[in-house]
Amino acid sequence: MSALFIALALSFAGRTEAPERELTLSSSMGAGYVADSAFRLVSEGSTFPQLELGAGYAPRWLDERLTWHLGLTVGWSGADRFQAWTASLLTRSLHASAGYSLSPLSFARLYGRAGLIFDLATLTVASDSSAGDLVDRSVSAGLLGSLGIEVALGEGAWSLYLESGYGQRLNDLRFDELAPDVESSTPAAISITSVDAGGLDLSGAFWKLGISMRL
Amino acid sequence: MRRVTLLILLFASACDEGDDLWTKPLSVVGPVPAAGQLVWLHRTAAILTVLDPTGGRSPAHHNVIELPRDMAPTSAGVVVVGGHGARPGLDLVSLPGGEVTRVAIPGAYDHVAVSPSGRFAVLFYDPSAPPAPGGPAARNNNEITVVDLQTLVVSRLSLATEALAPEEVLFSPDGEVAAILLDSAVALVVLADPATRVQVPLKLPGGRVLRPAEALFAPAGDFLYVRSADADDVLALEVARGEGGIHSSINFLFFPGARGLKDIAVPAGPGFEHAVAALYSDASATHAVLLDAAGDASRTHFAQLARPATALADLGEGRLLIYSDPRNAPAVQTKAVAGWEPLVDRFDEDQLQGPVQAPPQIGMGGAFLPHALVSSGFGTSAALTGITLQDDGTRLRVRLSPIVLGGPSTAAQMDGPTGTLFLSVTALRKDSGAAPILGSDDDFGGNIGALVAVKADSLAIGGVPLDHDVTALGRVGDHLYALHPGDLGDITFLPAGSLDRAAARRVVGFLAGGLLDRPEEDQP
Repeated sequence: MSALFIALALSFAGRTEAPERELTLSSSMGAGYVADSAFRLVSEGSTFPQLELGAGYAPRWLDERLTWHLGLTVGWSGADRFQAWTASLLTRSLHASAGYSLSPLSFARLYGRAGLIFDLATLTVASDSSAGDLVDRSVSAGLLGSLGIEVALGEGAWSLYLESGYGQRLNDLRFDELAPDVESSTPAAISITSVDAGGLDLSGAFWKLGISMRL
Repeated sequence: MRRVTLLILLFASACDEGDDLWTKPLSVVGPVPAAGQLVWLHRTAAILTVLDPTGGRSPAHHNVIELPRDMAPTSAGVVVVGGHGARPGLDLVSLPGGEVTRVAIPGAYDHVAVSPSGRFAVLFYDPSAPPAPGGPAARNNNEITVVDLQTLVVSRLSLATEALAPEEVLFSPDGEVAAILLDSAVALVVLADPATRVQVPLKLPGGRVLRPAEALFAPAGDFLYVRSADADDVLALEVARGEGGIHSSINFLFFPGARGLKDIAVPAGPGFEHAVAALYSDASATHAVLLDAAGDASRTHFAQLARPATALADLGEGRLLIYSDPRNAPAVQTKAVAGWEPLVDRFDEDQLQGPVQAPPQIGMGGAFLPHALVSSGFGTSAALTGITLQDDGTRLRVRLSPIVLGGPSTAAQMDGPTGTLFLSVTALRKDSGAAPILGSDDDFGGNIGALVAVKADSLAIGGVPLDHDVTALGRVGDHLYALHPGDLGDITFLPAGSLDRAAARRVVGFLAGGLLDRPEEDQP
């Protein structure tokens, strides 16, 4: 499958030269593959669709092959469950990484990245017949590693890139306070006890396909 | 770019794993009070949810055997029957700790019933349920299994009746004998020694089958009374236990000329030994009859009612209430109500302001009958009537105490320990004292369930508004619970002695608990 993407990318390829500009903006779409079977609560499979916005900085004064990268990834997955509920997971992940690139070919640049990721996740379980949606939020952190190829589009500042890697979370997302949101009101609502839905490990492989622009 | 998008979609879809348990319909058994907790079995996800009514423990969720089909309370927790067809089992779950002990059983049974002492579990098939996945495509519905929950000894036996399937399991008051009601037979099994059993065919000469509609054990456990919709006789099965095993004979009890057997009741107390009360009602007459199980006609007592009725209830102290229960005969809606003291042949009848429309709540020597809207000079309103039987010198008197409700009643629960009838009454949320709809700070639209408490003796009334509609009421431990609609699970607990919103606690979404901590699915 990756070979297909590479072949496709090559069809757009121009020449890739060592980056002359220090700042890069990127946008990608892709998917994670969550190995934890608990993910099936919110997905028909293990696929976790994701969109990413990122910015890179190449400190050429330090090493012209080094890039620092900061990205925000938003993932969402939802599914109908038990023919009665809808369950969904929304993640906002901030990741910071350092990359190192090689240019063995005139039209392509290979790179590797390693970094940290922080996830803020919201689990929602809803049912038309119930009084309110159940919501809980949780955080996790982890390590990322990836390899990618970037191909210049023509002679300009635009590039197409394909990246794949693995994210290892250091802790599970714990959704142990699942409950409806209660507004402050008069009369006050009867005290609500939350429910422990359990934990979810977001670790897994991922890939993304995007475009980047050097400023 | 269009080609790229297509490739991504193809790649993503190739990774999906298809249907699994998550797409099966939600199936839940419960709530069941057990060991002071309230328990639900999420059959689809194989999770047992345990709520502590006091709030002392957080809602707990325990994984149980795959493909669970039924549960029943024991003295220490619950038992759950289930399992893949090739690996059936019975989980003994202790509460509140949640420790699970699994016992292998010889068949993938559909139902479990536990004796009153909590010592024995009887497992049986549901003829309307398909065989468990992976199991034999056919099964012998005459086969049951008895599990001794103390020694974990499993005894499989075939009842070998001519009936097709069991319908219900009853236990004798001492818990030593199980009566398995089949569609055309009754099997009596000594639980401590399941090989000791006897079967009684419910067939008349010529092959006509008497299908049981209702069965009751005598308080002494020496008779099992069976009502069949196919006969006007009450079937009295003698249950004789001795060194030679268990024996049974059947007596056909009848009252000359009476037709249309509607209900039976077994009064408790002195003078009622071997006695069963029967209510007959057809187009021509309605009779309440006390019959002697041994066939002694000199012990027969009867009363004739002026209006049709369909139900009997034992009020204690030798008195019976006669009324119309929509569950017994939905087509018969009468206002008749009567009190009967058969041993002294005292009888009185009266009529309600409207026909009974919901099951009565009986206790504290009286009853509350919810009935249809009543009209008066002040308008039309929902109502129920409290009924007590009073000893008025030489006469028995039916005393009616009408109570007007602010809205339709959706659930009721007679609470013996507090001598209180708890009702949920539908009321407008606005100005009721209830909070706004969840998620809003000012939306007071729609209805709520207002909990009303009526003292059975003084008819003193109190109440508290809850924050959502109520579908059922019940008691667990010292707490009252009100179930709310919604398939995520929604319940409010209150101390039974203190109807105070500040002391109430609501748990919303408890059926979603533990879903992320399920073990990997066992593949069939």
